[in-house]
Amino acid sequence: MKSILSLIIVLLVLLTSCGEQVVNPEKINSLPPVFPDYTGVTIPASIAPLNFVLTTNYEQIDVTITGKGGVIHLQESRVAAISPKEWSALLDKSKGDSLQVIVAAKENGKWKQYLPFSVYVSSEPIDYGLVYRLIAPGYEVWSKMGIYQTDLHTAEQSTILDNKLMAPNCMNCHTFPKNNPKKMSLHIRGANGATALVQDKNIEMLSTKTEQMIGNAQYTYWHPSEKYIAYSTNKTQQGFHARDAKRVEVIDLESDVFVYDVVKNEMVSCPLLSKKESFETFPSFSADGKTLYFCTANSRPIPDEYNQIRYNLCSIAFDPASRTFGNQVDTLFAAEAMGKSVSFPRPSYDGKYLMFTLSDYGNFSIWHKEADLWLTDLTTRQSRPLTEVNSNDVESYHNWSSNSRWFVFSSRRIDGLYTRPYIAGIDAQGKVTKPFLLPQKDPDDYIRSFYSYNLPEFVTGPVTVNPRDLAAAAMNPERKQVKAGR
Amino acid sequence: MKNLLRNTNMLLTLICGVAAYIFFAFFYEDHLHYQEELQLFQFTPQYFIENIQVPAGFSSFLSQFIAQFFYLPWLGPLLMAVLIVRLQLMVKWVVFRFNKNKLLEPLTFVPALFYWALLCDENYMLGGLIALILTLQLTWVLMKINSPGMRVGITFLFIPLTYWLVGGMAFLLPAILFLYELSRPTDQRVSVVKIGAGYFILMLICPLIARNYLVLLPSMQLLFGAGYYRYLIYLPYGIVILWLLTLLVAALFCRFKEKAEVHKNNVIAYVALVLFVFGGGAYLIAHSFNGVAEEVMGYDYNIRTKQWDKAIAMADKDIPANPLSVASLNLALCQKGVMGDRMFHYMQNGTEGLLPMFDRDYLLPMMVGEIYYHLGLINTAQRFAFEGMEAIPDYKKSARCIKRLAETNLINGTYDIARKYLLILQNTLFYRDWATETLTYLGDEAKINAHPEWGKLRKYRPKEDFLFSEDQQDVMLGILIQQEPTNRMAYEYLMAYYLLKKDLQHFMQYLSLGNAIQYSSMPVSYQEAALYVWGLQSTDLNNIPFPVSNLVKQRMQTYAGIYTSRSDAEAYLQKQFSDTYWFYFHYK
Repeated sequence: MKSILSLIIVLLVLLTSCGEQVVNPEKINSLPPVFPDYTGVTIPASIAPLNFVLTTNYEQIDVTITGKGGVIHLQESRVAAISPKEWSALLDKSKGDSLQVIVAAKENGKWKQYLPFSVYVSSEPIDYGLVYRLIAPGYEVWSKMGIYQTDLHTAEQSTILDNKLMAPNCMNCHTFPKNNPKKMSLHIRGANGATALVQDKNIEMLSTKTEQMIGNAQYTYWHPSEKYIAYSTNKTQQGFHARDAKRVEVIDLESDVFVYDVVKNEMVSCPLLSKKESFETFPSFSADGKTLYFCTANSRPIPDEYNQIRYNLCSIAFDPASRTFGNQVDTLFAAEAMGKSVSFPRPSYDGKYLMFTLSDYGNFSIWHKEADLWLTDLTTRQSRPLTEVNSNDVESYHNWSSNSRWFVFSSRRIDGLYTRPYIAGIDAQGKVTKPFLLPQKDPDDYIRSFYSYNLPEFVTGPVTVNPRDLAAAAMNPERKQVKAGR
Repeated sequence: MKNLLRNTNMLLTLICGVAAYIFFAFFYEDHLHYQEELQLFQFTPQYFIENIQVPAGFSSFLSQFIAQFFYLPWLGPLLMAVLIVRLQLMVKWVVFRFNKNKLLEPLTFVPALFYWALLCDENYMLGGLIALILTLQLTWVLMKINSPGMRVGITFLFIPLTYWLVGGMAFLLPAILFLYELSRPTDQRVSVVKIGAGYFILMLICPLIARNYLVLLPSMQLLFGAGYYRYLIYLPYGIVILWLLTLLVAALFCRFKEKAEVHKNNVIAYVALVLFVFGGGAYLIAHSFNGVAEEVMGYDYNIRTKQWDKAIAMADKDIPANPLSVASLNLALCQKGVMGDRMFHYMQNGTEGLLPMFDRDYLLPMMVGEIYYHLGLINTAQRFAFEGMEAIPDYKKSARCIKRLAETNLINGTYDIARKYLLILQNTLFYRDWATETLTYLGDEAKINAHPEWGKLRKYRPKEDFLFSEDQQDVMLGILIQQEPTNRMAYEYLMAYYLLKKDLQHFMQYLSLGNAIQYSSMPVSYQEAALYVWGLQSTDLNNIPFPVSNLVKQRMQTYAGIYTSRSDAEAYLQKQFSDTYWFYFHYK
């Protein structure tokens, strides 16, 4: 009865809608070649419309989306641009269910209709938005770049900081404590370089290098209490491949891990996190804040053995009350023994999993096509590749939504160079869904754009710091010197 | 007499246009190519919207539209002449709304001549010129409104509109209109002071509102505008002077009314004014003329369009002035197959004139990238094109670089990226056809391998990976030759590297690497160097184990005789032997 009703609704919509009727189309026995590939994806109910195009040449596209209690029909010349209001209403009623999408395309005056595909609507909510850096995937020279946020419900992008307002500077490593938009750590490099620490409306510009550190703070991760921030400090060198598709190597000459005490403005570490004979980097705190994860590799002669440097995933205990570290390092994932290297360990906020990137060597995995996402079950300590989301190209930086039911990751699967943000769901049992590309009003923007989406992070609400205030703080030479703690 | 004045002024306009055409066609044409290559104008709605979202975006968009035609060598100078004449005419029509004082008409050339001089600095862009023309056009329209109340009211509306269209140049609109109100007869004058204050306040408010509510741009860019000056954070002093000059001209027309009769003294003053304006303009333009930049741009244009003969002809005419020019010349000599014979006929800059070091500039990587491209170091050529484009100070993209990135990705077989760039180039006017044709190569290995350039460069590409090292240029060149012995350019660059460094030991050690290239005769400079090395050990030139011509042997004997016997040998040898490797080795 329900399906008959749906069919009647579909027919009514088709008959009464504007545009040409798709009559007796040629049936194509394959899924439509949609870009982005939204076939079979699982999406949150609050996501912006999944507008798409076809990768073939066509004069018109006709799309019918059927879900619980509703049908959307549209006909356009290029972009299947779905009405946000209709979409939102349809998704709201389709939570826990799926949508069926029928696509027809008019080519050389004739309609072709493809096999329908499903889009699953999760009942798990997702965070408000994504924050990322937009930067050209270059080498040493930087140009226009900025930190931006996108509202996942509307696909509207706004600026958090744009380097046109400054020296121009490089900026990166924008991180938030469990996706809380009211607090942010952001590095600004070049002239007027510093670490911007934003706490509610207050902006402090920190000079993070202490006498114990080899350089300024780099890779960042907030403690769940928001009282500490783990930073790595890295001395890096770049190398450029003469032949390889990797193009760029970024090699650490030295690196250590420190923890910044936000309240006391002090940087602390321990010998196990700052050994001369090894590199320590990519710190992250466990969900309960009592464990510090990091990656470590034995140092090797550089540049001769740059491709022999392999990082293991390790952990050390951390006591937030006394801000002291354990006296033992545990190896969670012995990547080196596998001939592999770990980067970007990121525990889920519910404490169940830890996701990391695995590549053949080194730590700058965005340039490694073989880089893939792996997932460790923190209860069983078993790790597996996330075959549900990995592709033939780079999967690299990733992070979790605040409810640990979604994760965002960077991938270069579209063209091998321009990084794009993908979102996938993961349920309580660790079942991962097919990822979907961040929706845009016009997906061709991804083809036109000269910028990569770098370090995508979820935020639970809009980041409201005024870009001009942030730029002005950066341009002001005043800095708060971080002290070396004991 | 008035007719004579009118005709003379018209003649001056014509002369100005012709002079501008000649200047940009024969003396500064490569500056126009340079402007064209540093932009990527696309015929898409998205590109238009992206541009007009900021103040002066419209004038910038128009200027880019025009600058794309600089791709055609014959059209660029014509457009420049038209724009300069247009500017002069706009100034004239505006100031003639004050009064048609033909005796002062030569002053209307001042802004045009000044902007012409500004454009001699490649960082001043066409956007400012278009902005000024548009501003004067709108000003003229408003001045044509007879009703004072309506004129003032519409001006208030036009101020923010003009600001958004052209940026800070819009300041001239209320300023000139204020002068205009001042010049009106008393029975038609409205409360000028209040109007002037209103214009001024509104003009100040526009960039403030833009800054605080509409766009996120630095203050400098909001005060001036997109497309005026390539460096967005620096104050373009030239534009400020231009404002003042234009206002001064308007003020002079406001002050000095046309006389009923023209007397002899007026004519003398007129002639003096013509001489002053045009003499001063010529002086300013001559003083702003940047011959070194024009030379480098000329070499750049010729090597990127593969006009090797023209590049060599440039060097035949004038000694190249800097390492980039020399590096371009060497590339041209190599591509013509005469590098080994003739490189020392020209001034050399050591290895910096062969493979200049990378710098975080925009033009240098683009030019040096050409050398790496033809060598077969495709990843390096790709990097230099990418970095050069990212270094463009006004954040524009470059059609030239996008084209090179499409090529390098095609050669490397990374077709998805190549496709992205080609699809973008299909939105342009002059790169569209090439992009469409190149799209047909993607994925067609046989077709790419059969391409005379791409197929060859695929062969020359390193077969095994290594990390690029600018400190070990000879090692990299050696790797290229070892991995592909027929890579003639790599071999000749390796030989040139050692010769320029005067490292004859390595030169002799690797000379035989060229055996696979099958020269019909050993290049002359190699003969000279090998003979010199042999001569250090033996005086018997008959049993040299290298194919050295009799002419080279004779010349060396003569050279050696002078070198060893005369205290003024350098000056003496300069006349006859400055084209030899020996002279370079001993005196450079």
